[in-house]
Amino acid sequence: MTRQEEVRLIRLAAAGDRDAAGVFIKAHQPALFAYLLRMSGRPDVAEDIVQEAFVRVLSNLDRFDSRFRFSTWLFTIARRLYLNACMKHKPTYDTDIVGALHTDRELPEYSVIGGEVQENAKDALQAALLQLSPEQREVLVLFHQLDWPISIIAQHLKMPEGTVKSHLHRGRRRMRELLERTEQGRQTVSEVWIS
Amino acid sequence: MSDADTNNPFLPEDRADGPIPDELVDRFFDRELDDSARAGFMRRLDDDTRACERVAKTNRILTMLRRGVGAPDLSDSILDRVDRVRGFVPPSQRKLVRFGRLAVAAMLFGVIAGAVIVQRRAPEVMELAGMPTPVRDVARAAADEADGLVRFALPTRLVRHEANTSLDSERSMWGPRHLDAESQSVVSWSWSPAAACALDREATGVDHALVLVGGRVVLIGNTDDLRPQQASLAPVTFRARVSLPSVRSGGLRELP
Repeated sequence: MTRQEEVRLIRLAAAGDRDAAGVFIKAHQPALFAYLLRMSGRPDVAEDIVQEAFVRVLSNLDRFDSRFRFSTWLFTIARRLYLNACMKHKPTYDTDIVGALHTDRELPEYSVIGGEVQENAKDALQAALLQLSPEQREVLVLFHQLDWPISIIAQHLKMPEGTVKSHLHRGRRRMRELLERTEQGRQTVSEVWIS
Repeated sequence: MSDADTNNPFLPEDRADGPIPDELVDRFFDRELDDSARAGFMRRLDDDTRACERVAKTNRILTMLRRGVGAPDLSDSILDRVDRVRGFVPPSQRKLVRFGRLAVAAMLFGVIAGAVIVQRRAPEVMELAGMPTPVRDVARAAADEADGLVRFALPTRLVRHEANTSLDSERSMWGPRHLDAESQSVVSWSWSPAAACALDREATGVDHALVLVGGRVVLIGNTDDLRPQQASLAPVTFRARVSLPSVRSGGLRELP
């Protein structure tokens, strides 16, 4: 969708055109869903947040500043909803000691995903993604899956471009290590079965 | 070093037979290499098996990542929810809405333009009335203050009467005074004769009542004739104290 087309559709949708709003949803829905699915690892969470984000955006189209990209606005709202959902489901510890014992699980999405993470991770890629830090995962998805430029990602995540790159490099390396390990594990299992 | 140089993996330090540095691999995946640099990088991979394997594995991962995920079509449920929140308008009604908005805007513009024209041609029409506020209205506005006004009006008139009588001859002797009068609501007060005289001159009429109301001095020409021009409100310009001592007899006497 070109920029002009986007602005035209926004005007129409803001004026109450259902068809224009539908075109918008269809254009941005797959990318937003993929982003949220990769972030959360849960299709139901992704679906809920996609719906909520679109409802908010389409209900407040008159507030949209056309100097910015619509997708950035949509993803910013979706990201905030996702983080809110993570915070809402975050378990509270009775004491800091108990909390400290769970430091390896203090990432907010663990709470959302809970014990179902591994069950719902349909492939090794998703499982590896979920083992990255949230920043690494988000940067990786935005850059490699959604093809966002580094500068836009930096703006979206409110961090310097250098930091974005750093997360990107570490994320890629970690993904490679994790998937190599998974592959080795599979080989070991098959060797045991064969012997 | 220019940008072209930084993009060139064939610089002397990179041309060495050693392994491809991780930084270069990162820049390759960050899409920071131009076409010639990319071509050079690929050629160098042929000589570096370890880097080649690393790049191939990473590339496979990223290809998997780029593969789209099956997104369900949520557009209908989203549109229904949006419809409930703000309501979509059919195309025919959209014209009406647009016309309505234009009409409201035109009306607002007309009202503002009309106001400007009237302001220029007949400014007096637009002016707010500058009527003085009668003391009676002020007194009515606050029940407590009105009570005080009535209670103090008579005795203070007496005070003023006697004060005026003696003012001509004993102006320099004026100081704190105390009044014992027959009225049950007689006041004991002290005042500055200079300030009183100043107020006296500003007011018209002879028979004045000087009443303290809510921290302000109210000058009333005649309690039976509260015409606005004879009454004025002035801030307290002198210290005055009002109290209600027991009443015995009339007359003015020096305060101790």
